[in-house]
Amino acid sequence: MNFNAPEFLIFFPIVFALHWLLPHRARWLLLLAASWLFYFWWNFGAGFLLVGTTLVSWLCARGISRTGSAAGKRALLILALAVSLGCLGVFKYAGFFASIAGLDLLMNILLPVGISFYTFQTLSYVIDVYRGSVPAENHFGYYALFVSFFPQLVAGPIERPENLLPQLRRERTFSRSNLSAGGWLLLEGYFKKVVIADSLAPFVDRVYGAPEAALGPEIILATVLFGVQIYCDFSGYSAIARGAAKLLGVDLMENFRRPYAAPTVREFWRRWHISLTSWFTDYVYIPLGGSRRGLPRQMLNILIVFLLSGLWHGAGWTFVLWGLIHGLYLAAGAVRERFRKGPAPTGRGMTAWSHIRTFALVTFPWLFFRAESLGDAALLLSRLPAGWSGVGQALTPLLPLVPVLLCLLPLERLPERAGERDWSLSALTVFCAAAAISAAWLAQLAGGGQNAFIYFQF
Amino acid sequence: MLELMPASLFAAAVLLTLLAGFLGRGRSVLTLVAALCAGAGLLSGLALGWTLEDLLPPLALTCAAALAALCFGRGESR
Repeated sequence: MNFNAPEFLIFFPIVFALHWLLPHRARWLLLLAASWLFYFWWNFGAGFLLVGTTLVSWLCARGISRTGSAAGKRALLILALAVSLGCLGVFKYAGFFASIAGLDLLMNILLPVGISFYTFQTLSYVIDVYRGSVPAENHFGYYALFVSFFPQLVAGPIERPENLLPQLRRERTFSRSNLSAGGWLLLEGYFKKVVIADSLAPFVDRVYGAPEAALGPEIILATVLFGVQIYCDFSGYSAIARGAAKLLGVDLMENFRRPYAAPTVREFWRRWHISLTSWFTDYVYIPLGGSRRGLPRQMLNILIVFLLSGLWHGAGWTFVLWGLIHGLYLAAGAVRERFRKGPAPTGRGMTAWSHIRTFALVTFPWLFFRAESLGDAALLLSRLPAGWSGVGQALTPLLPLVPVLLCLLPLERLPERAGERDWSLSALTVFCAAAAISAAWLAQLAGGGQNAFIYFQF
Repeated sequence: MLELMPASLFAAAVLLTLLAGFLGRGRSVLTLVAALCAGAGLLSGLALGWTLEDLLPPLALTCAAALAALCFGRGESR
């Protein structure tokens, strides 16, 4: 089930109402049943994989917490990692690695939706139990709900056990402030996804779908707009997830913090997909030694993390290259930091320049991320000098997108408790945003269905 | 003239919203009139055969004005 599917508009109000009507002791069962229904709706087989992965990781973590011997704990950790990463490897990467080895897979393996997200969530739980930083959850129902909680199941945020598990266990009370904050998050998320991201999609798809016919200005603009599209798509999903969870009395972690306003690429990664970046930092970068073992080792660690991050996004060379470019940026940044003499230059002009530079540096690799193949990416780069004589003509059809893009700046500044500001302006904003969302959504439905969220494929 | 009606109504809604956000006085009345203008613009657009895609840019512009007024304007807490 998609957040922007008509059935979700029926599903969520029912779950919301039942959740607050039922006593606390029955809520986990309702939320778990709802979450599994939400997931099984896509594909029955993939649902069994989710349940199986959940069961194995729960049993291994219980075993780790009950076993006295270090070797036993380690063996159970390795078993849990092997099962989780094995499933991810088979379902997500088998085709990719087979193609590298020159083999043809005899069957097409369906990629289960959200497998990368819930696998990372189960891994963080088992590793944390092994490290002793969180206790093992004895109740399978609560643990299964932690893995499958439907607002964040298919595209994150990748939650940590210490944040989500206690909230699921705690008795939650209905509050008007949660209702208001959750409602605003839902409005923000749907606006970003349905009005902004989906309005930009046709132009981006047209340019990237026919690279041989694309002109230079179109390629640059489509790449910039793809950066905006993927941001609105994914941060919109995260806002809907946080909003839906908040309406159920659960606080999910923030996943985006105005990343395009970052002054450096390093800062960009502290603001973009925060739950994944912090996952890689805690479970890969720091165990590899982080920045503690000298500059060359730090650069290697950064490159390893970003290559893995690229692969996490997709089984393809375009994603690997995207990750590599970001890794090189950060490695170069680490070198610069080490050899910088004196404080970084400041001033208004310098600040503006650092924002523009970071935006350009981050936008360029989106070309590889969005291209269908490395061949397409090379073709697009080779066509950059073409078509500059008719720039105006090529870009005129994009004028209707300007008002849509204009919404992004204030939307990014929307206060957490926007509903507590002036009531008349809040009501007008809700009215206009709801009208725009409805118009865009109905137009999509009339055109033959809604656009899936981009991050579902990961 | 009639074809210009939706566009004029949306333009009035944008202007009134910005005034409501940044003037600070008579905000409730101005936002009410702005909402009525936006609603009338929407209905007149539909009556004149505008498609939903046609209606999206003016709606988005009104929304941008409302968001800007809410975020950057003088809207104090209740």
